[in-house]
Amino acid sequence: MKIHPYGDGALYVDLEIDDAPDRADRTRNVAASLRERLPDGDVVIGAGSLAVFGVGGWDDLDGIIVEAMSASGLVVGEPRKHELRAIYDGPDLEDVARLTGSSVADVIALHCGREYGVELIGFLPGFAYLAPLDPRLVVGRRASPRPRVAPSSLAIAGAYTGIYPVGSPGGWQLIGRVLDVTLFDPGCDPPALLQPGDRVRFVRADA
Amino acid sequence: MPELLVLVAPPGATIQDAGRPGWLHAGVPPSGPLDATAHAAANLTVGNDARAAALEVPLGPVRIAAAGELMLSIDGERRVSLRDGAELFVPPCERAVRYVAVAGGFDVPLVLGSRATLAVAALGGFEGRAIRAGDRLPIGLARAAPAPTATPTIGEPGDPAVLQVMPGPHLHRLSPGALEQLLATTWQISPRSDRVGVRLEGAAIARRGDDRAPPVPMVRGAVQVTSDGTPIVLGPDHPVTGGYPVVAVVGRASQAMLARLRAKRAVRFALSEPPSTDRRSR
Repeated sequence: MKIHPYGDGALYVDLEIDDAPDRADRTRNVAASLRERLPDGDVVIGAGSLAVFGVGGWDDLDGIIVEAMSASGLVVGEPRKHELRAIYDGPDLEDVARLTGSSVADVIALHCGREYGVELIGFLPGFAYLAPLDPRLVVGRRASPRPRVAPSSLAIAGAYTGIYPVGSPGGWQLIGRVLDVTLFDPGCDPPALLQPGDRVRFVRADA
Repeated sequence: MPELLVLVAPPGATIQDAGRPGWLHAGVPPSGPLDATAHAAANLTVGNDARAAALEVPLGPVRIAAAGELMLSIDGERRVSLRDGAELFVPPCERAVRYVAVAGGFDVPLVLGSRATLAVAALGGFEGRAIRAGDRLPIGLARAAPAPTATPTIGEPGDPAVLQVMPGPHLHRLSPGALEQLLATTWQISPRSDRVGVRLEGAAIARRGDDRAPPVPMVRGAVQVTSDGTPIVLGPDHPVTGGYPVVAVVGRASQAMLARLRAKRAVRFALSEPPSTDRRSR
């Protein structure tokens, strides 16, 4: 583990577990433990890393992080499960099929054939990085990002799949859209529907 | 209640208070002013709390009219009183961004504890978007007697402007010498810069490894190195996570200075000491 100052108001913690198969669970456990000890802090979960914001002086923070790292047997609780209805009609579906050497039907079957876990929230408010994607579906981002991606677009990039919570620029490959779901609502507590650790399944609404 | 009527506004003018801290874990960037020093100075001059909602105006001119009586300050300059119907023209100046504070502040709804606009997510501010001609912006209740307050200042940037940075956490993902290259180069502000980030031109920082690094937490001021070696200094509306390696992080005071620089201005980076409260020994 390495701890770095991150600007003059935060700390960055590299757990050095990039290749660990249980990276998401371990990172989430450390985050939960840190949040318990630093109720005023804003703890951001990354892939095998964390950042801690808003805790003022750094006295003992290292100790707290080390303690949180070693806290074993922490129970994060039963994961919440979501079933999201999806229509696979994205503009990049055929590109993804070509890039992965498979058919559009295979891409759809591989994507909706498994359960995903929310590893982290990033990029946009409420944007959940869902993993693991079937290795056969791993493709890069589009060469040039779109100036606007419609809200609820279902997309893949690298080892992740995700849903755009709001309309925004975006470079992920769009394979479909999700129906009847509000991913981010500032009036809700918590505002993001999908939380790290949640489990997500996509159910075809067009099958 | 009085209103401020927008007659002319440049693209990207938004209402910003001091920002929306505490929601990074939900994917919500900090937002808030590009230049926190000028924002606070403008507010204090009209008797507002330093963190009140003011209008951030990038680059271009703005023309406004008062509906009701208003007292304003631009960037902390001398107060201006506007009678009902009076107009005010705020010309562009050397600085890349200006702040119009009105006594009472802009009375837009609080969203997650803040009035700051996050246009990319249509959140907060005035209808979640940049303001435009024809908008009527509501003004809150002014404090009874605005006391003249000492306003914060930072030195005007030199040429080149020198920004203080700390080493970033991802030097191992960059070529050896990447930080030294950042420090040795005189960079130029790219016109392709906004509240998400300021791009720098002048050299390519040597990368190593592939670009499919998983997302990790980002911070305002982080100097990301993109695939083609371009450094981008993240601004207040930065994505909460990102995959590009962070070579350095610009300190708070230097973030305000950077915000004042127009495209084509020259910048250099200098290493600063880690924060004095940082007592780590490892």
